Amino acid sequence: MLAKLGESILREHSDNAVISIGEMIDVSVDLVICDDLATVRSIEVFDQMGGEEPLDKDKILVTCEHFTPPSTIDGAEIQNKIRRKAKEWKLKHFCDLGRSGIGAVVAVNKGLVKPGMLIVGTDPITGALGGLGCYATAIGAGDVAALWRKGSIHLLIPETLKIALNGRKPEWTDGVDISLSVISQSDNDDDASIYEFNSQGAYDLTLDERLEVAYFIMESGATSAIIPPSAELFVQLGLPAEQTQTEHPETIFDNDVSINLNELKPMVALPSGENEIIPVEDIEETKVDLILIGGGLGGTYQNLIELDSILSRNKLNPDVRLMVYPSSSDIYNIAVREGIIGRFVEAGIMVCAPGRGPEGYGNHGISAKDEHVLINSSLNYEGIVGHIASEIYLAGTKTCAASAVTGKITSAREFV
Amino acid sequence: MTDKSIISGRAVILPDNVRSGMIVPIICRGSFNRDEFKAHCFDAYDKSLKSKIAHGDIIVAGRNFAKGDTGEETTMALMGMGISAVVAVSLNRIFLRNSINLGFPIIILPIALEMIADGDLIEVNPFDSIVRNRTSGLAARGKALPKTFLRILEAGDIVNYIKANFEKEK
Repeated sequence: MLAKLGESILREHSDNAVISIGEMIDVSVDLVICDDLATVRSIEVFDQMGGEEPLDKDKILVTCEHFTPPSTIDGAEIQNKIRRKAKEWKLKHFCDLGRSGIGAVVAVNKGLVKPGMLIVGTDPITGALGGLGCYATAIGAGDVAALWRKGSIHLLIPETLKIALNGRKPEWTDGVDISLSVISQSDNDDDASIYEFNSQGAYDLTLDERLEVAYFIMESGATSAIIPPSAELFVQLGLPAEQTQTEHPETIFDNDVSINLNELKPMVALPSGENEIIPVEDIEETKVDLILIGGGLGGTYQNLIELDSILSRNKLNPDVRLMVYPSSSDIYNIAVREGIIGRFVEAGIMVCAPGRGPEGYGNHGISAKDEHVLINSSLNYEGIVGHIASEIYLAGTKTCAASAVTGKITSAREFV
Repeated sequence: MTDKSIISGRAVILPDNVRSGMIVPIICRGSFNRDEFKAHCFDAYDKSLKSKIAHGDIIVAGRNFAKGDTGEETTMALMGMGISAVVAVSLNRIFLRNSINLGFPIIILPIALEMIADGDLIEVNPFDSIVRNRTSGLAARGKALPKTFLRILEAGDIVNYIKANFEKEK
């Protein structure tokens, strides 16, 4: 049987020849992704520790993603503080407004990610990079300060759960539907395991789908989610091909969860915030006021293309406000060049700055009380995009796009 | 460990799934001012809860405490309210890391809600994970925290831990 990928990456980054589950070990990291809000706190803690300059500066990526651009004095002050520090420390990978985006996406855009890396970050979206065959997990702002100071960080070796994806998903479903199906079939508790994917269905996912699946699984309580790299993925990342585990798709694993993608349905997470997940067909007719595409991983290139494909052939419902937040400036730029953004504007879609949007703690696009909001970008915890009493639903981009046409939560089955 | 490791206080019971967004509303997080976190603590869960919490109280929560997107502000808000420790059936991994880094004691006790009632006087020791209910006389041991976490708590917080252990290496 093949070794567990997550565990082997952890072991390779430690001084330990053998590691055991439940043990906390010190590991070196290949990349630390620091978002603006957490970084200001990491700097404060680092100063208190008596640090002058972080170790391994070239492994630090700092992104301005929460205040895009700042709409509060605090947001402006926070970004100014890290801007000054980045200059003082001569950070190679400091991404200022207009050249930034969601940390994990920026890391991919900048070519900083390679399968097999150990990556930590202050935002759960860091976990998306597990989709590219990395061990990627979130840590605290104080942990980052400790990492800057000593060059390693203590991580727990969790249990590994194996998830099989078999078959091929229908055209009207996407990565979010896979994630929601996995989450609804696994324990709802914060179980802090590694979710390791296998089988051809997982290896066939596109780069953006891999990010989406890994992120949502981690955000729902896993320590990390990992999808072994395929030969194709190395090519997409612009890397020389390497021998991969995925060359043995016939290997039989003792799986904890098995998903038959052929039967995958568009799924929606209900506003309770308790991972109450049902097929879209069970709640069709639910009215939608506001749809947010992006604010996290929802604004990837593939998601923008999917939205474009449905909205360029159908009219935006007059009662729906649709906002788009590309996940990075690079993606925004490509979407402009390809005419996607122009078509969005013409269709009556509001295109906003790349970054976290309303998930950036009160930035542009927040929802009002009692509004029905449909998002594609993060788990729909209370108040995640605005008023605590707005009803927030989570679904895949295709469902969001179809719903933008009908004004009700709708499967994209008739639209693709 | 010495007696100073023992924290005693009145239990404030919270149910399963009191998520981070209920402890500090997400919209308040982009702030420099830590009093903001305390000022809005539990607003999204139960606005009357704040008036029922006294300095030194210990939160005893069900499953998935602090689940969801969380940063240090969640722990800072609880500390700001005067909460002295959290005992939970299960909780968010990042909340645990942040709390330990801030020197805030946490105990994971799967039978917490069976053993403790609202208002009970309890004693907790994060170093051996023992929880004693002085009101009922029951006691139990929770899950052991990893050794590194205990060393950080012993040092006070992550700042003091790093200062004590890595200063000389530089």
